[in-house]
Amino acid sequence: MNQRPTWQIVLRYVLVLIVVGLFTFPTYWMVSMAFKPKIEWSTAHGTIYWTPQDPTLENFETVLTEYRGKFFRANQSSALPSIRSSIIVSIGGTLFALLIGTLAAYGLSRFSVDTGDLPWYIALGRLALLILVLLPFMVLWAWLGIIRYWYGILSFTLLGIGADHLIGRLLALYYRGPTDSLAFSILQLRMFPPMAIVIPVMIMWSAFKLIDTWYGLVAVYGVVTFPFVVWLMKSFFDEIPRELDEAAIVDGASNWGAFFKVVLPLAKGGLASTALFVFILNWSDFLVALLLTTRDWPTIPVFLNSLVSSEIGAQHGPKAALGLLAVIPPVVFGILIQRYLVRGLTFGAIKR
Amino acid sequence: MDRNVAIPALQEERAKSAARLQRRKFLDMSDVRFFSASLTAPAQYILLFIIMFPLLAEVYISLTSWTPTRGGDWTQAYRFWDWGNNYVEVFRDLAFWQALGRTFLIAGVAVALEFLLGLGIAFLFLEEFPGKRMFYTLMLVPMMIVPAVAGYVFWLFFQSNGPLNAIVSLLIGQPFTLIWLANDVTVMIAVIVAEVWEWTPLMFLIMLSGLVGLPEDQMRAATMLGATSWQKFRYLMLPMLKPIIIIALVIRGMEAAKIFDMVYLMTQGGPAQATETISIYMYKIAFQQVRWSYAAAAAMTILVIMTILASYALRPLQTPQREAA
Repeated sequence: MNQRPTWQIVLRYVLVLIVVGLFTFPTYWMVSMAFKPKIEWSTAHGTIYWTPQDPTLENFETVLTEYRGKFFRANQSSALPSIRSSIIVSIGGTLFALLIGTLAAYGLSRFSVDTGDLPWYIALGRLALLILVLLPFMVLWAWLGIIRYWYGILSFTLLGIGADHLIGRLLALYYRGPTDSLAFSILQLRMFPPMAIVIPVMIMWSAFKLIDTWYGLVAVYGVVTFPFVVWLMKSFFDEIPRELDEAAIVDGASNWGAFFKVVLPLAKGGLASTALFVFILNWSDFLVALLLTTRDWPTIPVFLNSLVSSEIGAQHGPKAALGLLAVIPPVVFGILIQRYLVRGLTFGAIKR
Repeated sequence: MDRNVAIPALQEERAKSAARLQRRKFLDMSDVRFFSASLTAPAQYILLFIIMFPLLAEVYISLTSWTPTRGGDWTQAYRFWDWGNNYVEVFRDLAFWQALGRTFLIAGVAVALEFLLGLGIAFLFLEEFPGKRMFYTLMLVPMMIVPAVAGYVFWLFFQSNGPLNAIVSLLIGQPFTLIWLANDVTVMIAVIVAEVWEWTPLMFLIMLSGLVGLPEDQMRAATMLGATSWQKFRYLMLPMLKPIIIIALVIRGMEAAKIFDMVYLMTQGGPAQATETISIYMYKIAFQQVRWSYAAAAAMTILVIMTILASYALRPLQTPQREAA
């Protein structure tokens, strides 16, 4: 219909090639580095090797095997444990996030009167009240010496949840408008730099002896990524007409039955893409794993970091090989769910 | 006849059934309210459970001057009670505000570039051309690369004997050996380039989906009325894309403000403090200088600032625009 002149088509093609080339080059560089033998790693010899001249799998071998004291090379542990830990922790965190997130998403999608619009002064005021009320108890618990034990933390948390409820009720008496919004607080959780939260989480985790365990990481990953599950799954549930659950209930299903037997099977595709999406997020995490693991359960990015920072001689090749291994799962999964990437990363706000 | 006429037996019957109804509302599995509450409750309580204690512990520590090096564990922090001195110190700390400013600078520049590039590339991909599918998939790869790995890749990329300098040398025809990561200005460029590289594909995806979804009739009408391409873009596409653009900018902005992994792998915040973002600043305070109470105070300050910013920034994400998108 609107046929463009040839020069425009050619120009577009050239531009596309340039742009895609620029965006692919860093990835290409890592991939090619992973297959280069040592002599081709850097330009120290005056030439730069754009492609591996003499492709080798040596780098993968180096990074995957344990190495102990020979000349010129430091002890180096194998990356295999970190790969294992990445897999276990990411899958566990994904399942945990899906478990709590999907239920909440269905609740928000079907029954919500939650406007999600909470003014910051109410959010902060509520927080300040809570802190004022609870701080003396915190000091008391510390003075009693029970706060370092799990039962001290548990009792304090229960007390805190009770106080939070009371404050919510109290505020609702004097302020007309939302004083509490699950949808908002879930989204807001994503706003904070994780660094601001992770320091006290470390304290709590060490009290529960959860540092450097897979379940400790799984718990944090679940909580960090479940906002995505809630918003993504909510957007999928919103697409399933309400009339379907109502019809199921009229036909004699219970509420839970309607959810598990009618709505969830319909949202199966969405659930699968959400799972892959959240898996990518968990797999990509560096900060949480850096702070909450030490020796037994470092994930791949943490291990990579330890290689980068403790290097003796530039081990470009093995690191690139490890990087390549680390990016294969997310890239494959990402391409599988490319239709939903936008929806996922915009909390379901843009659906296409 | 009036239904509510006083017949004692009937009244009693009504009272009984009302009581039964009342009773059924308490812990009835088939009650919708109970159902909806039990759907959201796990999320709510797990959130509270995980946030409550760390939050209070953070406030508690931030009001003392305890650090692991002062002896005792954190539960004994009340012995070093210090009121709000840490907060005063945070407000006076130039490095804190510089780190915050630097974070917003990186986020602002990077997101703006990502937006412009993403929009431009989306226009390139608007029409069919041979191989589009493959190029499209290749374009998406950077955003799926683990950020820490991307940090390492760009660390390699910007080495003085790395590929970038080799390319520049080829172009200018003489050896070019700038040490990108050792200079205050070029290191910022390097960090922004890495961030832009990783997240432009997301902007591209969002913009492309927005452009594809534009109603075609209006475009055709504008063409027939003789609008130039620029006019169509400025007066038709841009206003219609506005909600999507706002959402994209907000979300990218808030994610970019949290930047840590990539910068940490590339520069560790250096040279000196040149690329110290707020996350790296807090990391250094807590784990290198081991000033925990001060780090806690800084973290609380960030939480307050971010809560205020979030409530304004998240507004476009709420329902009205959601339908427009």
